[in-house]
Amino acid sequence: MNFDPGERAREAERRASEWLAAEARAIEASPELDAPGLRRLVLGAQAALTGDAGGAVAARLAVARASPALLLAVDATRLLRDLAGRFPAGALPGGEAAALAHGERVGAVAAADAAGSAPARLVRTASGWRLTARKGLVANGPIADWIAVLASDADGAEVACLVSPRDEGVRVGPRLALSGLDALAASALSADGAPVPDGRVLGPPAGGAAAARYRLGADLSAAIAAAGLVRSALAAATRHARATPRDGRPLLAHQEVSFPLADVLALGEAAELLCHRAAWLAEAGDPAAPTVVRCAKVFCADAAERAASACVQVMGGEGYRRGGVADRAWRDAKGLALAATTTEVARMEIADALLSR
Amino acid sequence: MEFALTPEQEALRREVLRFAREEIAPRVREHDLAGRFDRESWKRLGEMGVLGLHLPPEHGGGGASVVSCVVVGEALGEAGVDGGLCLSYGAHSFLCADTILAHGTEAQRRRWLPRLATGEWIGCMGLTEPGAGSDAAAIATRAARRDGGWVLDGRKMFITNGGIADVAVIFARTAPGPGHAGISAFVVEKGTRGFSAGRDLHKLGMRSSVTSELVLDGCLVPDESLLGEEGNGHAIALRAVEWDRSTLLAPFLGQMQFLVDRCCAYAKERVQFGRPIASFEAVRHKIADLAILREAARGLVYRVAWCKDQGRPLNPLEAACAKLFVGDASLGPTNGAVVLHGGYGYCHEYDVERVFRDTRLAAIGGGTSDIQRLILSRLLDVGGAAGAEGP
Repeated sequence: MNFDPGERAREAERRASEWLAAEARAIEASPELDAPGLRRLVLGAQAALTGDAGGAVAARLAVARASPALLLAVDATRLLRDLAGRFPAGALPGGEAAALAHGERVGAVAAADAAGSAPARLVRTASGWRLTARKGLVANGPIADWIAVLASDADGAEVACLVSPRDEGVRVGPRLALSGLDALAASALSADGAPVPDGRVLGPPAGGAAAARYRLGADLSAAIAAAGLVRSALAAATRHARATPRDGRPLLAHQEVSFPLADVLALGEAAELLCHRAAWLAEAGDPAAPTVVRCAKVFCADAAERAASACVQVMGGEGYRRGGVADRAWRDAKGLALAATTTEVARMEIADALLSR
Repeated sequence: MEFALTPEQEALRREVLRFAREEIAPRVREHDLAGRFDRESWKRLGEMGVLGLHLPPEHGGGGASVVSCVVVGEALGEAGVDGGLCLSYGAHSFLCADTILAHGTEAQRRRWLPRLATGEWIGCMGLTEPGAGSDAAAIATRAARRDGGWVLDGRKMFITNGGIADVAVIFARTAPGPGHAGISAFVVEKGTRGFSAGRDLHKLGMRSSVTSELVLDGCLVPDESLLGEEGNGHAIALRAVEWDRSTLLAPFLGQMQFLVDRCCAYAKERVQFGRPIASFEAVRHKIADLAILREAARGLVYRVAWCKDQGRPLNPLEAACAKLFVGDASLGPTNGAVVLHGGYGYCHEYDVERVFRDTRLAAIGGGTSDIQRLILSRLLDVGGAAGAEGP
């Protein structure tokens, strides 16, 4: 057991922090950026976080503190890249795999089917594989170069395929207006019998394994984003409480203000440690990883909602101002409770794992 | 970061889990209900090497790391050992024996530690007083120099193991207050004239642990009883409190797993509306919440232990976060475990109500949750909390 983050993680965090400091103004303005502007920002973040060290939890937490939406965007590419690596060699045209690895392409994974839609299907016909899908909310959808689509085959087994937004029969919808996570470019995706080349299909059982691995990575990403939000909400509320006087003393000198913030501080510490442990288990391929990652997702998302609510309350009218830090945290936190596996479904999956022992 | 236990720690965990399930857990309910200390289990813990696990071999101990002690505490809780016995073990091994190890002279260590290591002698620590709880620096017990020794006068309150202890680390004021500058620590043996245990206190939980008043009435102890330097008692007490934030919290982690196991077994077996209640989402959410709490608390508790193994000075952020989180966050999920069991959860036979009662102490003993919030508030105020300065 060793709680020292280690040199590799420290270096990754330092690199991420340098990039974040250099781009602080752009990140602050990112909720107002259009899709091309967001694409430039995401590519910049990916370039700063390339390589194995870029996946270090410490570096991702640093990004999440600055912008949970930006972390989700960067991680969407990371998850696509991980999925793409499981396809047969040559699935992507020449140079694209290397460009993805170097953070020079934006990726997305279309997982959740749109509400009320039939599950996505990828079936082999006489003329090859055909994709029919209605995906509701695809992170990075409007800015992605490559999208992995999770679907079922004719037998109901999980499969996956790689598509480009430019492919025949694939339609990426316009950017969706979200309640929160303003700096995330998200869209619907649909396909009506779109042809998919053989080399870009991952059939069963590899498709199922890839989907399970994706869900693990997506839950961990949402957990880290939420843990980062806890910290940034705490920081904003603490700054406000230090600087704002009441009855001749700073707000922070009043226990009714400082005690809820102390609770958030403890939640933040617990959330970050749980993210580190979940990531470590996932990387080690530990059988307990799926359950612990889901625990991290639920705990961090709940902690983010609690932290954001405390942040709004402590900041009072300023906290309730549209577009302010607290308002953004409040809206982002709800998005993170829904992102990847929703907290309700995650709880069910945790219980299923425990009950099946 | 790296979270694996060593093979030795894994083996220790398995062995303690097996031993505690087979030899201690079956006796727990009887002693909890009677509010009686289980001497037989205590003896077995001593024989197993648990009571002196952290002490060096030259003093009869196992020389284990703090992380290993947390592993053992967690295994005891998971096995279903009641919080009362775990609390007695913690007060004995960490608050008393470790304090003597850390601050005692070689002669003092040789005198007390070997018999504390085996459990032949039981130890306790007397800091809290009727008028000095959270405000520990307000203690009124006095120690005055007399004829090559010290005379102690005062009363101690809520002392775990107080009524059964053979050796007590007692904090007393050797110079006028206010504040903590004039506080010193002494070791007082049972049978010393003027030293007696007052009434035992009946408690909501931790019922098999003896909690007593201690009375010091003209209690004369020799110079050799002074532990550490005169006037250094506050620092000694603070160091002891570190254990509260690691090893003493470890059984709570194990108890969460114990509740998960109990809830899963009951939910699969209990049929209502024609199907096992495990099929109801609300029931499964309660089970999940216990597991989530355990996973979230684990990192905080083990981190304190790891820091202590590294010889780092007391870190108020890490220690207070662990204590606050475990104390407060356990309330909802442990309540959920009782509710999941319905009427049976309210009865003794299913053990979940005992864990519910026992875990209430996590928010009180060794510094209440509000004291932890006070510590963390100060860190926020001076900007000492990591991340509180902002991204």
